[in-house]
Amino acid sequence: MSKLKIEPMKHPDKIMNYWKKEKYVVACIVIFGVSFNSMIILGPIYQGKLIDSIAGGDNLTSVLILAATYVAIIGMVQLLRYFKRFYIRRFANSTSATMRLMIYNNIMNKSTSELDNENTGNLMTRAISDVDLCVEGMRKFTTEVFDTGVLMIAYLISMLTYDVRITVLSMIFVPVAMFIAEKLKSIIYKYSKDYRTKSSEVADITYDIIENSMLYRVTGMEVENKAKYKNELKDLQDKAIKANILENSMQPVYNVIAMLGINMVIYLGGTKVIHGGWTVGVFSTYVAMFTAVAVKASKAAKLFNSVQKSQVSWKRIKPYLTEYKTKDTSSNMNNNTTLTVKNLSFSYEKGRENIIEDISLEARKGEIIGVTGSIASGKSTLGVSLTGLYPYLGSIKIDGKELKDYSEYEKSQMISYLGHRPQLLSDTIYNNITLGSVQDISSVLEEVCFDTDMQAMPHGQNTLVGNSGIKLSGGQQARIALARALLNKSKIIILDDPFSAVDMKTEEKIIENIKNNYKDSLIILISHRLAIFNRINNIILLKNNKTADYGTHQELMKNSEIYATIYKLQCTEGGDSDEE
Amino acid sequence: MKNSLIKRAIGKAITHNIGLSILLVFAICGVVVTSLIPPQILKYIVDHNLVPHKSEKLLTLAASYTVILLLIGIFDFVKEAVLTILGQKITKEIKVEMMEKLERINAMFFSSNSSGVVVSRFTNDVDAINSLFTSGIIGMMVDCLKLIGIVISIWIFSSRIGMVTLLLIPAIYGITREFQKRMLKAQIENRILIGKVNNHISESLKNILMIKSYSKESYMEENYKRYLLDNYKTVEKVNFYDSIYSPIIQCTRAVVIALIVVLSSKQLNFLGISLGMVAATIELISNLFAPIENLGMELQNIQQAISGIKRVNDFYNEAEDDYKEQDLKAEDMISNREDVQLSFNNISFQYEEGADILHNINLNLKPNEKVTFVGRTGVGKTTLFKLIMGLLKPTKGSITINGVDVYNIPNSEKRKIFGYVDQSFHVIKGTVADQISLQDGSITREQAEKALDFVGLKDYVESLEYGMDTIVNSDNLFSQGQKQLLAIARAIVTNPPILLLDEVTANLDSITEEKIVSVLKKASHSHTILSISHRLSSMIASDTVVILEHGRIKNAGSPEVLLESDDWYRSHIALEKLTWS
Repeated sequence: MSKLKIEPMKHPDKIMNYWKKEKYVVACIVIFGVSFNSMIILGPIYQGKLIDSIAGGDNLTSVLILAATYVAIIGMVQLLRYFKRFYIRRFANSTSATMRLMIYNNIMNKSTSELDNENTGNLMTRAISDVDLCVEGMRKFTTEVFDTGVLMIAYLISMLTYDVRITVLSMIFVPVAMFIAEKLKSIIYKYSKDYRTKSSEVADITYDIIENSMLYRVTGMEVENKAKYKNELKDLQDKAIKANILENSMQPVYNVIAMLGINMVIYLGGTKVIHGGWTVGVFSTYVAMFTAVAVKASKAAKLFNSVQKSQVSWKRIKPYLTEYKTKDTSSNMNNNTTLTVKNLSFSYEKGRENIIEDISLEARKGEIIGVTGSIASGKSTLGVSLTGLYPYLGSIKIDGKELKDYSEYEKSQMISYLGHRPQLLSDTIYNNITLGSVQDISSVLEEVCFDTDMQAMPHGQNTLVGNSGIKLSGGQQARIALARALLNKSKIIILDDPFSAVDMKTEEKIIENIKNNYKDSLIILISHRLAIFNRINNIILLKNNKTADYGTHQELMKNSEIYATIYKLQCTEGGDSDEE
Repeated sequence: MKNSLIKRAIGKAITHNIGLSILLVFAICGVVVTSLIPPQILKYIVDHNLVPHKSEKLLTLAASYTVILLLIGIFDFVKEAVLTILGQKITKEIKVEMMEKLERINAMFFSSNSSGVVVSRFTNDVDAINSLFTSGIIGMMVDCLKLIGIVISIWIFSSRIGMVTLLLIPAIYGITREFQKRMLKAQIENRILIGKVNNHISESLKNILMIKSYSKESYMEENYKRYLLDNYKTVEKVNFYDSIYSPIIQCTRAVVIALIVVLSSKQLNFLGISLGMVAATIELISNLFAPIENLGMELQNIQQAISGIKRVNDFYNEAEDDYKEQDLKAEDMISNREDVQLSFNNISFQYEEGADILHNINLNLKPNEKVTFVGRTGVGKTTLFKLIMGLLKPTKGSITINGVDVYNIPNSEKRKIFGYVDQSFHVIKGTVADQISLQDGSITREQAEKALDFVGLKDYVESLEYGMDTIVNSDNLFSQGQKQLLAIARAIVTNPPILLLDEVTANLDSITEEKIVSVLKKASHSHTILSISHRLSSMIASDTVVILEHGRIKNAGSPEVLLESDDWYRSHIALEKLTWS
């Protein structure tokens, strides 16, 4: 039925390109739109002929032939109309899909720091309701180019052929109606903008209330939130009324203004019939045509408004409609991993205080580097900065090449990163780990001790994890995320506190597995528990005064008072019992 | 019960705006009556002026025709304007009702429904319902009234055409109904898919760091494309019905007009009507089809709205929490902070039939007791906390504080009783101060400051540009550990007698952890503290340790006793100390 494909497009920020892109569909719209709208005048003409055939007392056969012709013509016209309608809707449908895809592509290819400043609710309203509104406007516009433009021309020409004077006199009021509608445009535009802004604000609030519903419930804040929400809704309601009332209710007014000319049509046309210039059939044809033109004209006014309104939406989504981006997936890497960090400083935003400063370290494959430090010392930040997803100061060299000089794709191939949150998708376990690559995951599942959990799952690797992994326990989620980080045996694996929701026995097993199976990788383990730090190669201890101690466990035990204190604290923790 | 939300909202909006509603009825009647007059005038002109070729009163007739059109326009304008206002008011009422429902809805609802989906109930679905009032339902009502008027008008001309028209209506209705059914099916399919498309966006944003760090943008995009394509296909189906309906109606109209003309031809003269009547009948028949066709045009809106109503009502019929005793006050329950008796009376809990998460838990806590629950992940510790706070209702048994069932405590009192610290911190919209107070008006700035000071974040917050009034809009303003401290500040700001700590130290380093523990210790003489931990060594010094296994209490007692009596406990302590500490 259709070539089902949703593809990216070029120059999505020019609205014209959406019509250019759908050449076949648009061609169909033009063909069917023009033919339908020019043939439609046959309807009233034949209707008039039918009336005349009765008035003239024609014989039954000719009346029957005329009636049959009439039905056949209408059938033909309506068939064309069906195709026109269908293709216009298809155009809207694929335009909407393309726009959504382009916006999605834009969002996904924004840099991480750009996205930090975006607001989820806003992005969602934009992608969803603005695209809908915009496409609706485009659809209406396309429809009316033919259904108003072509149709009015066809009607006007035939009306002029019937009688020039009556046509000119009766049509005076049609432009008046269109003029008034045009004048109201700017007011509607303003109100509609206010309304959209408020609407997205309210969507944000709704999202906040729902996302944090449990929190608000246990703190008894639901009542107060509801009261606030009510006020916001009241404001939204007032803005919506202002925006919609002009748009929805003015149409009958335009219609009446455009129809004022009917006075002339009936009087002058009637006189013409009385004097024998027209037949009753022509009179009725003419009245029908005039009415159709006037109704169209008044709707055209409404069309201006909805196009105007969709422009508001278009303006809002336009910044997100940029050229389609794909990641460069070429990479050249070797197998000998070395990591050299010199004088690394990092802050999330330019001008903000550095969270870590002047960090230096060196490491190579097969090593495990521990990162620890007190709260807010920047442990996680160090992990994030080593992913190269944010700009940094100083130097991070992997295999002698500066990290920022690698392409984003190369970085992602070299470095596996596991953050605090498991970041699971509402998909199967298999898809969450492989993320689209076809691989066997049974061994990696064993490494993260998920094989026993799996046995209790009837769907095995195809078990759906639910939204954000809600159907799994915290520990299971963490281990799925860990399996994902381990799967590709990247050169550098950064694990930021992966075991906080995993019990100790399991943690012990997993660490052993990683030590044994990932000898080609460099592992950076961020943790505040020094338990296993005496067995790993080097340790970075970040301190609150933004200095760092670097060395082996033994060195730090000797040289770093804090490290020794923490280590001892953790060792004696767990009850001052008698076993030590 | 069905439809009650929408019905209630409409009822409320109407009773609050009785004047407007009356005006609406008046305008609708006006539109219906006046719109019947023009064909009559036309008939008169044809029969009295055009056929006998007489021009008397023609100008007056033309003028009155125009005046009637003017009247129709005015009535129509009033109708539309009032509808817009009422429609928006109804929309507001629906949202308010939904928010009230959300307050009462069972906590389990949130584990099975993603925020994106719930948000779209509030936005997309309600908007679809709104279009029902602005163009759909009332439009349909007006159309139905018009139909009746037209049939009567035609009947006056000739009872035979009247009869034909009467037969026609059920036929057209049948076609319309058939289309309606098919469209509705496709629409509902489509709505579900739109939900998926939208949820994918919010999910992608939530997990953006992961997606980027694995370079999985294109994978996510492929998935998105798949959803879009599925959506595209269902829309295409809807479009087919939508496009073909109106042309079919138009063809039917042509057939009927042709039939009437043939029947009133001189030879047959079956209907026995004048030429003016034929002309007027053609116009009336056209008018007859116009409302039906409109009905078809509005079909899409109506269908969308109906599926919207269905989903909103489904939401409205979600299981609710049982009635809370609203006059139950925290002060009355706990008159003396030193005397808080928390008891678990043989409780069991299951999310799904036959799969007990917790089984026959019995426990009596002494006032100010410190209890730690330990056990493998997934043994239901967090569920237990939700039960303690009365968010979930035990399948069997009850949890009581000083004899009062916690499930009956109204939510508004809970913050005075429980301080809950989650595994992760939820940032809300607003300033740093709002993070602590959650914009609770009864919490003073001093209280918030005190809480910040208590958790040791005061200096850091003061160093921010606007201090406590700094707006938290970036995820990086606070580190993971600081967020956890904020969560604690949020929990203790009301100084509740019971603290629930769910893996609270999991993300804290030992120095901060030490500090937290010492602060909690300082406050502990006036708090009952329940904590969850899977690390035996990291827990806050506790009087009692409860070991959970397979949803049951495997063992409970003081740490010293357990060390003697519980092998699992002993070996874990040893493991932690010898190997891992």
